[in-house]
Amino acid sequence: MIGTLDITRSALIAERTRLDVIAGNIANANVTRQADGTILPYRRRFATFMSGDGRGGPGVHVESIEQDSSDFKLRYAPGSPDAIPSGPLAGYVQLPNVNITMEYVDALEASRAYEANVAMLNVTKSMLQQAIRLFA
Amino acid sequence: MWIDGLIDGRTTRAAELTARFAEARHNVLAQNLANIDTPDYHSRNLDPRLFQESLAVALERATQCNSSRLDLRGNAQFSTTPTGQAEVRPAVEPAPNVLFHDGTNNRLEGLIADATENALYYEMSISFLQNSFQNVLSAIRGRVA
Repeated sequence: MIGTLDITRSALIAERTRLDVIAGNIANANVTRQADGTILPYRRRFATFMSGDGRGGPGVHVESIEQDSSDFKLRYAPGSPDAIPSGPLAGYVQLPNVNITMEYVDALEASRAYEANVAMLNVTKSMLQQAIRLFA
Repeated sequence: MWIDGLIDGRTTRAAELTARFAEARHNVLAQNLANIDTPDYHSRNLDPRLFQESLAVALERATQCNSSRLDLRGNAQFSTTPTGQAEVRPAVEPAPNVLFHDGTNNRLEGLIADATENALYYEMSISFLQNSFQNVLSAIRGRVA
């Protein structure tokens, strides 16, 4: 029964990590430059889940944080210092491939899964309490 | 000794096995819920009906032999070893819906309902155990309550 708490804990950590990644995507939804100043928009990131707690036990864990390789969005803004200077796309600014609506839906899903696991935690807790009452 | 009979009765053993089964099933359900967003994860389950059937068979056999030992045999998912340990082998649940492309069967409401039902099942067996211990206590004290 104590092991069940570990399973639920691993799920809570995984869903929290996923929410962190989503928050990072939303926060960077309009970023057109990297940390070192080069003009390259932020790439959307997402967490991939894998069964098992990563150390051989049951549960779930975040296997990796991947980058979304889909195309960047383009916005025509020739006055911007980040606009593409020449070529067929001259005058366009590349924006991150983050779709805010999609991120919101993902965040909802992650937060509902988190809630469900908290509910499971409470069920486990009440079962443990009943077992402990046997000693009393 | 008679007190052994009082504590070690078949029904107490049955309640204990029921609690252990509910604990194992709760563990499986928690794993399913933890992996609700894992791609390609197939949920597993322990069938309570199968457990109850094999428990009925075990009780029948124990009554015939007049022993308090309950052995769950012939159950593919939950059985006891000769040393009294429980062997748990959850079966992969069928995925009858076509909603998920990877063939998983993550049904959140079903999992929560199963977990609630299972917790009540656990509570029932624990209350039964508690009552039977209370009876022994009453017998030792020589008075009711």
